[in-house]
Amino acid sequence: MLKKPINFKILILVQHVLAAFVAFALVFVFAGTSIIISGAKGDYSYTLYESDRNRAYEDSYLFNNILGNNLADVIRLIAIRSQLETAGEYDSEKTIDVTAYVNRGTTLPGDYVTAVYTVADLLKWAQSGFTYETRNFTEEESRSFLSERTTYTHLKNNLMSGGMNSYLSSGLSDNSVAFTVSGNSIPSGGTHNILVSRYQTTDGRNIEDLVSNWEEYSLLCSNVEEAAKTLLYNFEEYGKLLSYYGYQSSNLRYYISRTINGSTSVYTNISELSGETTGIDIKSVFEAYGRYIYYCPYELKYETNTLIKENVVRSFLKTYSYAYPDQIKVYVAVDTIGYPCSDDFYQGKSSFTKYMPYRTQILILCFVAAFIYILLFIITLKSPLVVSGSSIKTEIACLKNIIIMAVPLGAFVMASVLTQMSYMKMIRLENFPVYAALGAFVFNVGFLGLIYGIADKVKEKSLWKDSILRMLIIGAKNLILTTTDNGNVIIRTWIPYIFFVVINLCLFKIGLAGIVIAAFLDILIGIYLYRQNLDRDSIIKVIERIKNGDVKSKVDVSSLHSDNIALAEAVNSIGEGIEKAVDTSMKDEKLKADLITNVSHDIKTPLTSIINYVDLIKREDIGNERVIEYVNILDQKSQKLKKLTEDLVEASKISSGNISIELSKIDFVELINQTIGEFFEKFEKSGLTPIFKANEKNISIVADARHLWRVLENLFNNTCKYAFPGTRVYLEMYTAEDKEGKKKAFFSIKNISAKELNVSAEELTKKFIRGDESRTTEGSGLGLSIAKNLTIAQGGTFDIRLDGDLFKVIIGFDIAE
Amino acid sequence: MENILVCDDDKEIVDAIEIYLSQEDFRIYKAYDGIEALEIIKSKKISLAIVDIMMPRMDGMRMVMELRKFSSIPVVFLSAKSEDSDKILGLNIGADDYVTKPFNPLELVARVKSNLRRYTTLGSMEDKENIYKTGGLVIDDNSKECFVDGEKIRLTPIEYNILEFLVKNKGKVYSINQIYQSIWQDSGSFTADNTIAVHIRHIREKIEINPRDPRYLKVVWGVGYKIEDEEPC
Repeated sequence: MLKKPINFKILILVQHVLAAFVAFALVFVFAGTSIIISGAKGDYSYTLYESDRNRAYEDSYLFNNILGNNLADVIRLIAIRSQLETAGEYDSEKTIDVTAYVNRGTTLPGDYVTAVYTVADLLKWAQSGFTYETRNFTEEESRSFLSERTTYTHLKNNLMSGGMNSYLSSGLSDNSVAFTVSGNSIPSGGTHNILVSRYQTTDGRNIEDLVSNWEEYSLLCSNVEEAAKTLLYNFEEYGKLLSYYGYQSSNLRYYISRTINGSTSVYTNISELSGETTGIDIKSVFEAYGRYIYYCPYELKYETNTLIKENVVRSFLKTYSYAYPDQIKVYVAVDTIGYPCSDDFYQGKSSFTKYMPYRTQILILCFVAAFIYILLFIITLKSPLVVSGSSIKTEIACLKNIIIMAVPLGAFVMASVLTQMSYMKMIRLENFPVYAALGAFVFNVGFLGLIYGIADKVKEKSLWKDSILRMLIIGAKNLILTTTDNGNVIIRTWIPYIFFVVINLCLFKIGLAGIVIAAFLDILIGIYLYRQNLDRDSIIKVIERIKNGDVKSKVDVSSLHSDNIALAEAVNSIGEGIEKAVDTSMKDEKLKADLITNVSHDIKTPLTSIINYVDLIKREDIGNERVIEYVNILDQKSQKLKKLTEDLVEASKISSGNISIELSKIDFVELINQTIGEFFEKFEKSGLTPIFKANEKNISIVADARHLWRVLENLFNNTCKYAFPGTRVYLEMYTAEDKEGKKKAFFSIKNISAKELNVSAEELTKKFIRGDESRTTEGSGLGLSIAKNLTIAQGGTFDIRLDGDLFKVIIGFDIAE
Repeated sequence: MENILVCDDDKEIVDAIEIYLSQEDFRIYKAYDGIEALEIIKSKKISLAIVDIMMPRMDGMRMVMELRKFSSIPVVFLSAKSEDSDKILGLNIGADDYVTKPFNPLELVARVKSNLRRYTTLGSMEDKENIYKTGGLVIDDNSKECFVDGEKIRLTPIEYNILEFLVKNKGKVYSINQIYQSIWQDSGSFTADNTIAVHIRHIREKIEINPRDPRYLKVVWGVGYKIEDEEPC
């Protein structure tokens, strides 16, 4: 285990450093994976490929990607130059055939309407804007506004031969002829848009002077406008690209010559080559720069020592086919020997050499650092206490650390806003890895402070204890408790209810949002009430079960909530109490039964001798009458003692549940008949007449036959003993439904008691109770008790009804299916 | 003169039994524990033993188990233990009868005699046609007579018919109604009569030593009556 908090401070510091390093490494690698290099038209994003790792910069994909982008830009530059320049210089007096210019990408018809302006006029017109007027014309006015004749331009040679398209053809000298044709339709009157003429064509005419109807007029106007605007756009780009690819500003060298109709024009950024080049081997000049491309489609020649393919160059040229006929020679090179200019090639080289070699190593180091960081994190988290027990409130500690974490992030966003740089660009700043490391360090201070702080509080189990939220909740709870707990039921129930109603009403007032919140709250309250009732229900069920004798039944407290837990626990402990009491009383009964059994054994042996010797005395010839009487009393009492011990054992066994019950299907009517048969003589002797009525022939019940016989035997014996001699004993058997709708068979035996019954029905079934308090008759007083307990043990019912001298016992059993 | 062994740790009981049995012309040998009893049985020609269960040194159960290894004389247990389980255990380990204390001297004597008769005369009666028997109970259909352990029993004709019917179908349980129908050949309607039950009680009183604990004519409560198929014990 790690020692003392001092060590932890060092550990945490190490973690901060590691976090800073990881941030540095990640930013470094990220910046090195995707670099941004500013090119001719803004920033270009390049990816550093892992496969470039063992190549020289000039052989890398990076270099060739940069070259490809530059090549496209240069080819566009030349195309623009061809529009604006004459003999390699900007020519403001260069004429532009607007219709041919607008259609430079497509083919022109042999005869077309056009206007020719100087470059300067068109540019100025585009800069100042095209204004239209809406005017109403009568037919007369139309005719006088427009020319009577339309001027057409006819291209003598308008073939695609030699890669010459219409635009190139129209630029050839002596290739176009103007002729006029009288309008074949009369221009109609009406409302028309008129272009305000700011400049005139090279031959001093306005647009309306060249056309004879409105359709031609508006077409020509739109051509003029489009040509001017396109030219202006190109002019602006011309300036930019020209300076970007200047000899002093770019490592890229180009020389493109094109031959149209025998005259060759040259576009280059090498001043020495712009003039007379006889005697100079241009190709070898370009080869000497390092990396070069030479392309001549006319001669089907393509040479290069770069990775750029011929079809790439061809496709670039094809985009500007109005500028490039077949007879061109393209020389492009990059001065890779010296890189004299700090351009995108140079930037690429410095990035390449800066990131490429260390990228993988740094990445590995980064992972190692991250691994160590996580390892330390786990170790620290698992150790007992990190920060020595601060008693700051949980929320304040969290907030403090979150603010610390927010500082570097905020700084990053602020920096981006202030410098107006995109996040991506900022990340690629040269020093950004260092800033990121610093930021990560600060962030980590907050982060670890937050995590370890929470972890410590969790370990001390004080997360919740130290929380302000807890303070508030406890305060609120106490407030509610003090106001409600001691109050009466009205305060406890009505005040929360009124509060609830008022909140609902207030929320409804707010509007739709309020109604939604109220509905949500009401659903929560509903769920709460439902849960409460559910809890109550489970508690009530258990109480019901305990009531019905299942004293082992318990409420599952874990599924309950709030005050129901206390209620459930109370119910459980009551249940346990009852269970204990029942258990103890069962044990006591068992003990009593064992005791009685043992005692009765011990009584039986001497009793045997008493009975036997009394019997022997009786057999002797005794002359004395008084002795004979005494012996008879001894005989009677010893027999009674015998019966008493037997009954006592049986009664105690039944009441302690120490008997086995074997339930089977028996015919109750048959059993009664058998019993009557057994008691026939006894009834006769007691002067009783049994009358048996059964409302069904066979009534099957479920009972233990032997025990049921014992019950009936006791009841019949009871009747024989206590019934008034000379009366009838009514035995009835009937089926009926009990309270729960279960079909039952009932047997009743009723007789007139010989003596007054001065005890209650309940007392009669208690042990040692007899109809006569004087206890002079035979019998142990256990008969009814045994009968009742045995009946109940078999699942039957046992009722005694007393009505004056009428004594009635009803026993009931479930009918067998 | 038969020799009877009486074994009980209570001397007075042994003496009382001696008085009763000697009146019936038996010679009595007395023992007060199991070991003594076994020694007497080994040395004398004993025809029957009355044995208490709870005795010092060797109790009745152990003694009977030992005894059964070399002798098959009838053994009557005499015990204060009156549970059914005690009786079943006692009979199972080899006793022939079980009498609980306090006992009726006349019943004990009757049982002793019955056991002796069965032990000495059993098997002597040849199997003839129309003679049915179970245990010591014999019905002679030829002479319409009934014997229990060789002793003739006087029965009324109805009692005889009922007993004959049950003995012929021994082991099977018959309800009052079934018996009624078979005796009177009457398939007539239901009679809630208990005449049959009374008759059966009378038969039991005649053929059983203790009608409350019958050996032959058993009451199956709530079902009917039957004659036990197997020999008792």
